[in-house]
Amino acid sequence: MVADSRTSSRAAGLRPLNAPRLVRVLTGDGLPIAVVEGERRRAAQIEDVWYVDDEWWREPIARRYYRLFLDGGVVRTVYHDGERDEWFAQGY
Amino acid sequence: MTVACIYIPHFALRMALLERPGLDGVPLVLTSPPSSRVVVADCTQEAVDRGIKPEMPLREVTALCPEAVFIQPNPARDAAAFDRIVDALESFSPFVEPGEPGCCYVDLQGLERHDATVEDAVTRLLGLVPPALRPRAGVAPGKFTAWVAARRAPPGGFRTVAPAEVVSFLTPGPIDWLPLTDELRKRLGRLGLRTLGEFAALPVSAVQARFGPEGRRGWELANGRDDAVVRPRERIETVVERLTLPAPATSRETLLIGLKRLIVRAFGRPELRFRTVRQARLRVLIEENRSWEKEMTFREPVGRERVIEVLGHRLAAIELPGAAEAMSLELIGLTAETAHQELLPGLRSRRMRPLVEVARQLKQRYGESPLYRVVEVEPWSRIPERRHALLAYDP
Repeated sequence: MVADSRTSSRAAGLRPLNAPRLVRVLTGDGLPIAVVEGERRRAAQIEDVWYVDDEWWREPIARRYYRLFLDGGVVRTVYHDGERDEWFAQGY
Repeated sequence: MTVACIYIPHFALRMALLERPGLDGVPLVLTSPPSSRVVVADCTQEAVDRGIKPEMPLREVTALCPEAVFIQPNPARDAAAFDRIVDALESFSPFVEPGEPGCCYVDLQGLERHDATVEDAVTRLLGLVPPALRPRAGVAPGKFTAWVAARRAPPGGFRTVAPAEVVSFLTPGPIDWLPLTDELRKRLGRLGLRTLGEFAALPVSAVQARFGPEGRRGWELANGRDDAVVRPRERIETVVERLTLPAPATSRETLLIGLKRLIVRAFGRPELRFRTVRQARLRVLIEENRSWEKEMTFREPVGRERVIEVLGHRLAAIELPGAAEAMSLELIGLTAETAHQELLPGLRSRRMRPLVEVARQLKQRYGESPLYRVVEVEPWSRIPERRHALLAYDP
């Protein structure tokens, strides 16, 4: 009988893509007013806002996404994680 | 021949109780694997006392006994635990035959060199099984009588049947204990036969004429004539691969990707080089400590692509009761025989050849291929990181 290798499953086999990236977001009245990614960029406009509430039966996911137009013409999608009270950048 | 039967009644339920000891004494019902008609697969004595019995639909159970607790099957956990028990018993004797889950036969012949009496040997055997599983043992000249004795032994204890007592010991036992097909059992029931003694009292020629070889075998067992030897389990060459999914998966697409990954990894192992397999066992671990498993025996030895195709079809057809957390694949019966010629490497698409060469070169240099392919996992998901994944490209 060939011995079971007992090696742990390699996460390298299947990796999630587009994982959220922790980002520093400055807020005013609970809304994002600037994103700091090396340099501080002011949010010139909030183009869209939407919620994702899911998987309350397992590890709840509560995200409020903002699509922002930043100074310099940069577009960023960030979200506030309601469970962890942290901000993340993630393409949607 | 002296045989010991180590018996753990309601094995799957006992395993569940090990994890949730607070349920001890509660009527427990083990449900059958998820399918269109879920029924009672097994139940504890507390449940039997309330009128619950195997094969009963769950709706009836709820009506009959609202306080009954349903336990979902976890065959992967149970099989692993049973294997550990058999391994432990094999440290005692090389002649150990695993029966149904929770039941093992041990040939005690020759063990007098280690233990002064049979009682000492059986006590030592029982000590090899976790006491929380409440094992019991029976010792008799044959396997069937040893099994009946084990069923009648107290938890943690044993019962010994001397050769001269076998017939009188078996006589009051219910006829349902004979290892017969359901159909034959029903026919015997219709004839009003209730005990082993009633069946044993019939003339053997009449039993043979009416019920054929199976009936005759049952009649012999009921009369204590049992010459079946203890057959140790075969050492079959196997390859096992496991994969933990990055996130609990509910979609079939994710499972299929995981399955493909497992098969490619398994066939990449040196043991399977230029070889095919006869059997595969796929296990899916589901959240909340549940599992699903399927064993498939191929009509002919098959290679990687055929395994992917067959298991993929099977996986596509199942309804899992929850999100899958991990998968494991066991390939059994490795052989060098091939029934059909697999596609020769030289006939693969020429376009892919440079890429395959580069991947091999990188793998040689870095230990594993650093190339990945983007695959759709749950493209409809509201959670962006669940939509796509990177799958290692390892030709």
